[in-house]
Amino acid sequence: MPWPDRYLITPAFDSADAPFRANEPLGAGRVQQAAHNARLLARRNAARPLVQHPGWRDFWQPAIVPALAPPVAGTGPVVGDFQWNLGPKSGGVTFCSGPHYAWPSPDGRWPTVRATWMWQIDGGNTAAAVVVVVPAGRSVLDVSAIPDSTTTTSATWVRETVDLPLSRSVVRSTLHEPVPGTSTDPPTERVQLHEFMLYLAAYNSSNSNTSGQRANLLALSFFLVPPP
Amino acid sequence: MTTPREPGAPTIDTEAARIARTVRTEALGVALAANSALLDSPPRRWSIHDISDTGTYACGYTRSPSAKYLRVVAALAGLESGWTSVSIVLALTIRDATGNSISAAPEIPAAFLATFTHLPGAFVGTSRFDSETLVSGYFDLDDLATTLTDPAWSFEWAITLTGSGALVNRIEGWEVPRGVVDEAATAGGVSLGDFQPDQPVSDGPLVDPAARWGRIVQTTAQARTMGRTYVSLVWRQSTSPSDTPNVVATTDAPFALLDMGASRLPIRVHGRQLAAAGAAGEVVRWRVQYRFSGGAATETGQVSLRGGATGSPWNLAGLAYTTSWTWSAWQAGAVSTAAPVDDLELSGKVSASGPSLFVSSVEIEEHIT
Repeated sequence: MPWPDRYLITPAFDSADAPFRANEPLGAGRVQQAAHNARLLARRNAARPLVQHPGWRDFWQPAIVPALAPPVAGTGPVVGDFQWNLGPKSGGVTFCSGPHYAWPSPDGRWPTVRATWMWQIDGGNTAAAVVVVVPAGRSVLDVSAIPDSTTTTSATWVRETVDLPLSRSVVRSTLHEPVPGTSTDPPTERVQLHEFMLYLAAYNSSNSNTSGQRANLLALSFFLVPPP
Repeated sequence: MTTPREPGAPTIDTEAARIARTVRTEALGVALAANSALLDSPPRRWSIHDISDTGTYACGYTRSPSAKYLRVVAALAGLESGWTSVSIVLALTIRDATGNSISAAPEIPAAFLATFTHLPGAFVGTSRFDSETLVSGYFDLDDLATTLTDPAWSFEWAITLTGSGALVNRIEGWEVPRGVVDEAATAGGVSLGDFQPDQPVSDGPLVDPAARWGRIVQTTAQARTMGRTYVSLVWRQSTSPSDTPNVVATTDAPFALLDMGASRLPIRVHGRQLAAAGAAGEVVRWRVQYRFSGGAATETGQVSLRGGATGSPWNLAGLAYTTSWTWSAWQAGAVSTAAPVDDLELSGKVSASGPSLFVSSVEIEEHIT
C-alpha cells in the first residue's frame, strides 16, 4: 500500500503517546512513518518561492534593434535581442535577482525554476520576454546561460509561465562562512551552496510611448518546483 | 554542542523496514532526511527591487525555526555618466512589532550603517547588471532576537541616493542553510553519530550515546513548521499615488498598482501541501504596512486577501486612521492546495470618501504551528 501524499501527524516526542517511548517495541510501521514524513518534508521544503516583483506598467521600449520583426511563432527571441542596459524608469523591462540556491534531489535531478506573470499589450503589437538562469556571478549574456523566451499579442490579460530546468552547469558552488554584523570573530560554521542568478527582460514591438501602444508585465514570481 | 554537516537529502526507502526484519539500519537515513528537511532550505526571505528614489522601504520578516543567519546582498547599479558626484547610503533599522529596534554595530554589517557612504563604479558591459557593485553581510538571528523580542520583524531601509542616475538594483535577504547540527537548539537537527551501526537505540531527545528516535521525531516536527514566505512585496513609503499602492473607494476595490484595470492583480503562489490536498489548503497569516493620507482622522480602512481556499476573503478590518507608516496586526488566511498553485489578490476600501489608504509592504507567510 503506498504512503499518502501528505504529512502524517505524529504525537510529540515527549508526549504520553509518543511513537518511540522507552521500552516500546521499535515496530517497522513506526519507522516507516518517520521515514515517510522526513522524506516528504525534505522534498517539499526544497521547493520554495524565490522572489517576486510587482511588475512593469506601460513599457514601450523595443528590441535592441527597433526594427526587429516580431519573432516567428515557435522560434522566440534570443537573449541578445533585449536592451539589458535599460533602467527602471526608462520604459523598458530588465530584472535581475540573486544569488539563490538549490539542491539536487537524492537521485541527482535538479529542481526547475518556474517564472510566471500576467501581461497584455495594446495596439496589436507584440510583447516578448526572456527568462534566463546563469551561475551566480555570471552575466546574463554568459555562454552558460539557460534562456527561454515567449511572446504575446493579447490585448487582454493572460498568464505566462516559463520553466527552466536547473542543472549542474548553471549553478556555482559558493562557500558561505557567516560572520555576522561587524564581528571579527572567526566563523563557526560553513556551508557550500549551489547558487544561480535569475534574469528577465521584455520588449514591446511598438517602440511608441503613446496611449494604445504600451504593454504591461505584472506580478512576476519565481519559484523552485520539484523536478518532473 | 554543534557538529558540522553536509547538506543534502539521502535516498531512503520507506518500504525497507518490514515486520520481522531489522529496522536498525534505516535510522541513519531517516535522521539524514529529517536534517535535510529542517536545515537545508530555510525559506523565509524578502526583497526590494529597482530603488531609484530616496526614501524608506520596509520588509516584513519572521525567522524560520532552524534559521541562524540571514544573508543580505545589495546591488548598486553602475553609472553611465561618471560616478564622482553620485553616492548611496543604505541605513538599516530592524524593528520588532513591540517597538524594539537595532540600527548600529555590532549587529548591523558596516555596509548597512548610516555612517557608510557607497560610491558605485562606472557602467561597463552590455547589461546594467554587469557592472553592479555588490555589498553584503550576515545577520545573527539569535543575536538580533535578544533585543527584538517580538518575532515579527521589519527591516527598514532608509536609502539616500545622491546625484543623477544613482540606483539600487535590489536588496535581498534570505536565510542561510545550516552547516552544523546544533543539539542545544530545539530546531537544530539531529546528530548522526548516534545512528552508526552497533549503537544502542534510545527514545531520548537529548544528547545521549544512543540512536535517539525522539530527536528524529522532534526534528521532523520542526521541519513541518518551516513555513514559506509566500508573498513579500515592498514599495517606497510614499503618499504619491504613482509610487505606492492605494485605494480611495468606499466599497471593496483593487489597489492602484495592485490592479489590472478594474480587476485585482493575481499573485501566484505554490502552496506547500502538508495535509491532504484540497480547498481547505494550508494555513497562512498576513499583514500589511499602511497609512492614510487626507480625509478625516475618524475614518478607518480595510484590506482584504482573496484566494482559492475555503474562507476567502480574509479581511484586515477596522484599520485605524494614522499618518505614520504602521504594520497591521496579523490576519489568518489560507492557500489552496486543490491545485498545485493558488492566486492571491489584495483589495481594500476606506470607511468614507476623503482619505486615501496606502500600502507600502505586504507579507504573506505560511503559518503551520
